[in-house]
Amino acid sequence: MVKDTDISLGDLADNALLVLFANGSKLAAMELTRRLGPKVFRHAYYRLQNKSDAEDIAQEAFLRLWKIAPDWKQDQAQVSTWLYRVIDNLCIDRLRARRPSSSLDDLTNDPVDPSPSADQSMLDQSRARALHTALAVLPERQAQAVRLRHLDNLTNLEIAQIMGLTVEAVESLTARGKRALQAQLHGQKTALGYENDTA
Amino acid sequence: MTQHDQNQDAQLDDLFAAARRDAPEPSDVFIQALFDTIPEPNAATSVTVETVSPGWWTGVRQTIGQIFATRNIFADASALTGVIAAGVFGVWIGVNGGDIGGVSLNPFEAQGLDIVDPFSGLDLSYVDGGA
Repeated sequence: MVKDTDISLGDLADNALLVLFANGSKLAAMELTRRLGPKVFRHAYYRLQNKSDAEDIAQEAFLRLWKIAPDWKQDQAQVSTWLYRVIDNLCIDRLRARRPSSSLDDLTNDPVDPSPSADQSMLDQSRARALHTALAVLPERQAQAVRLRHLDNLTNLEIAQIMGLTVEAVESLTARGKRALQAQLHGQKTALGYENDTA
Repeated sequence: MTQHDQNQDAQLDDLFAAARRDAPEPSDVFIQALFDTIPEPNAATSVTVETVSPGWWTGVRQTIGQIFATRNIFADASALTGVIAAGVFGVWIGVNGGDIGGVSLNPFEAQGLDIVDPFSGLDLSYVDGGA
């Protein structure tokens, strides 16, 4: 039996860490948390646009992961794939429960950054806000595919596993999603700092 | 792809990059909160060890072994049980005349051959003083 001390936990695959945790290794669970926690948090944040909500959702997802760990089938799914699915479902539930105005309130309550890079930060903020607003208008599956591909930086194969689609279907969804985003954002170029674009 | 399309793609990529930069980094407090969700290992352990009841002979060996181990007579009492078993088996063969279930342990008898003593006459020679 493999023990924590025999090999470096950092070299093990996510699934192996989860199996180690199910066999009693808390260190394996901590390594898995360090590895996937930030990714899971960001994925929730891209969807919810609220740090506190994203943290809640990420914690809930990990609680569910520890709960199902004893029954985990190594050959069935990747841990990260499973977590992204759970996060997506939890975010949908959270968005349904939200009041329509709460999302906008969260966006306007961010403190102003006084650092020298504040201009760039404010520009990023306005561009990010425009992008998320445009994504929210897209059909759900298109928006999900675009987020996973271009914000979470996942491969088409990983996205296909998460969404239960073929790679070709994912490519089609992201292509249509990007075209729809470009159409939506076309009228906002000046506001987003692209006034010098000659195209 | 036209220059216009390339510009549009580049601007969209720029927006994605801005959104990634704008996302907050997970704080140490949050990571610690995630660690706190990890249950204690005992609660998560699901591995069960199947126990197999020992056979009759294993039970006898263990019992004998325990007796000797308790008395500290031999270091490896379990091995001694093999010697005892062999001794008992030998005695039983002697009592039984080497006949196990109608099969003789004597290789000559087993093949239906009579045993002939080639020097039987010497016995009488000794008695008669070699005459």
